[in-house]
Amino acid sequence: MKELGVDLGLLLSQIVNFGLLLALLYAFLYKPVLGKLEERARRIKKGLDDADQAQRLLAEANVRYQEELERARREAREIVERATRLGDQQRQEILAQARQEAHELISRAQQEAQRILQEEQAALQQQVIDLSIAVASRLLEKNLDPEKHHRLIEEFLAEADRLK
Amino acid sequence: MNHDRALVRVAVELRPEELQRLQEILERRFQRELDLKVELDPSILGGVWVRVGDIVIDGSLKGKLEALRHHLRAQARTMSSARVDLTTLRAESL
Repeated sequence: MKELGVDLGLLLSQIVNFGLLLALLYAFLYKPVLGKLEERARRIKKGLDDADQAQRLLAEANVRYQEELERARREAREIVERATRLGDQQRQEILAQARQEAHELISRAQQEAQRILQEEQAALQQQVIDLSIAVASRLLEKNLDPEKHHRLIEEFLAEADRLK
Repeated sequence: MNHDRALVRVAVELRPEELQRLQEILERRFQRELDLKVELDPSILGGVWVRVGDIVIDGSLKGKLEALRHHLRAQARTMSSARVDLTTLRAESL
């Protein structure tokens, strides 16, 4: 070995030194670096998982939001339809009631007018009758001569005679 | 003898024979003798009006006209109430 220029002792010590260096490097550098790398990889994976989770949650929230929105729209539509229907119904009822009241009012007014007219007619008829009788009395008073008077008396006597 | 009294109203003076006949008729009708008191009353217009006690025999023209007036008034009332019935029916059938 000497002839080859290799000092066995030196070689051995160097081998030992190298081994020591390796052991030290492994213990103090490789393991912590590896730990750090693993830790980093885990954090990245967790970050990705969190991002996926967040994405999923966001999608679900979006779906729920759309559903809620649709439901709210539907309810709003139903409320408007109900209100419109109710309004129509009330309008119809008010109209019908107004028509009924107007009809009754007209009917009452017609009856009242008819009644007043008939009362006036009746009063007028009574007046005409009274006047006619008065005129007849006056005419009889003026136009009955003694002859006619005695004929009336004769008629009375004949009738009284018949009624026993 | 105290006779019942008959009050007679006429528009013209009764001739004696008319008075006589009236007396006979009334006495026969009431079956007793009557004292006739004849009043001249132009307001009865014509004919004869007689009252014996509570009984009145109205043969006067005024009485006939009054009867006619009542008859016409009653008839007019009946006709107008019939019209009221008709109009009520019409209003109800609207």
